[in-house]
Amino acid sequence: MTLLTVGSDCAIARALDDVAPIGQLEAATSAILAQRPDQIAIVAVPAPAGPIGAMTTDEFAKLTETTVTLAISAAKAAAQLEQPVRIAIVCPADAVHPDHLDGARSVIGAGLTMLVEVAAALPTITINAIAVADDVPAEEVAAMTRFVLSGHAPSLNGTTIRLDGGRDAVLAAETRVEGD
Amino acid sequence: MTRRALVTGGNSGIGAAICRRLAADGWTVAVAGRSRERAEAIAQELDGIAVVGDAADAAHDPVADAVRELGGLECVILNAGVIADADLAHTTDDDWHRLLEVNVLAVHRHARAAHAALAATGGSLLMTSSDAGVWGETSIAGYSITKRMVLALMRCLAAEWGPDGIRVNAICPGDTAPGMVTTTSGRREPGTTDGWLPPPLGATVRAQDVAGAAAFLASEDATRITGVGLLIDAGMRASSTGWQTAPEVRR
Repeated sequence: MTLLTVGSDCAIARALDDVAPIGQLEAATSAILAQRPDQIAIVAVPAPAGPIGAMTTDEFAKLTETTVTLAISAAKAAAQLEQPVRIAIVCPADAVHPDHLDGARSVIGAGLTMLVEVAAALPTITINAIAVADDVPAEEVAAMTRFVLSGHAPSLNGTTIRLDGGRDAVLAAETRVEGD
Repeated sequence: MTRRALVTGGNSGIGAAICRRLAADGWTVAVAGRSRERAEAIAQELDGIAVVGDAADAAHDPVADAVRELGGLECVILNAGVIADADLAHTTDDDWHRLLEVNVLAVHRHARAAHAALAATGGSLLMTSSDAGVWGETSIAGYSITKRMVLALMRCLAAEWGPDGIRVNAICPGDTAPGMVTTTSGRREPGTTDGWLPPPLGATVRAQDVAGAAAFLASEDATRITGVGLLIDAGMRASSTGWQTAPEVRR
C-alpha cells in the first residue's frame, strides 16, 4: 500500500505522513503518475481567509488553484493509473454548511464536496471528503483519513464526512442557548 | 421610477428570456453578452442598452458600463456561463480553467463590482447556478463543481451583504430549452430536446419558466427572500429516479 499526500503543508498532512506534501499542480500529477499510489490523501485546508466579498478575485483564484484545481488534477492523475485508487480529500468544515465569515473556504469546500460526488463514478476511483473543523486535532483527522483510505468500508464512496464534534449538526450553539 | 437590471449572458437562451420577462414587467434592461450583434438586437427590441464583452475578460466590467448608462441598478443577474461535456477524467485543464473563470471567478468579480450600486438602491443580486450544482452529473463534472461553488458563493454573500440591504439568490435551472444545452455551440445535442430524460412533470423546462422565477426573485414580492437556490427543474432533482415518474414513462 502506497500513500501519497498532496496539498497544504499543514499539521494534518504531517500527521498523515512525515514527508512534506506536494502542493504544486504539475509536481503532484507527476508524483502520482510516477509513484502509482493506491491511496492518495489530498489536504485542502487553507488558513481562514475571511468574508469572500472582501477578498479580491485574484486572491480567490489563487486559493482555488491550490485547493480545488489541485484536487481535480490529482483525481484525474489517479484515474489515469487504471488501477484501484482510494482518495480522501480533507477540506474545511464550512464545505457542508457555508460560513460567510469564512466565505472563501466555504466556496472552495463546496467545490471539493461536488468533486467527490462527480468523481465517485469513475471506474477505478473510490473518493470521499472529510470536512474538518479547525479545532479538531490533526491526529484525529489523520486517523479518520487513514480509515477512509483503508478500504474497511468499501461502499463508502462519493460522500462527505463531517468531523466537527457535532458543531454543524444544528444551526448554531448560540441558537440552542437562546432557546433554552 | 423604472427599475434597472443588468443581465450577463443576456443575449441567448435563459438570459435572453430573463431580459424579455424583466422588460415586460417594466424594468429597463442592460443586455450583456459577447456578441455585439445579438446583444444590440435584444436591447433594441426591449428598448434597453447593450453591454458587450466576454465575462472571462477580467478587464470587462459590465456593471460599471450599465451603471454609467442607466444611472444605477436595482438588480444584477449574473447569468453568463459555459459548459464542458466530460466526466472528470476527460475534463481538460483548459476546460476546467475556462469553467472556473467564467462560471465562478467572473461571478465573484462582477458581484463585488455590483456591491456599491446595489447597496445604494437596496437592490438584489441573482446568480444562475444549475440543478447540477445541487445534485451533480458525472457527464458534466467540471460544470457541476463550478455550479456548486456558485451556490456556496451566493449563500455567503447573502449573509455578508444582507446588512447592506442587498438580497442575494440563485436560480438552478434543470434541462431547459432554449437554454445552455440547446444554444451552446460544440455540444453533442443537435439543438433539440430529443433524447432528454422526461422530468416528473412531463414537460421540459422552458426558458420562460426560468425567467419567471428570476423575475419573482428580483421583485418586491421576494423582499424577504435571500440566500436561496431555487430549483426550476420540473421535479428532476426531487428523486434519484424522478424521471421514471414522468407521465409518458408510466404509459
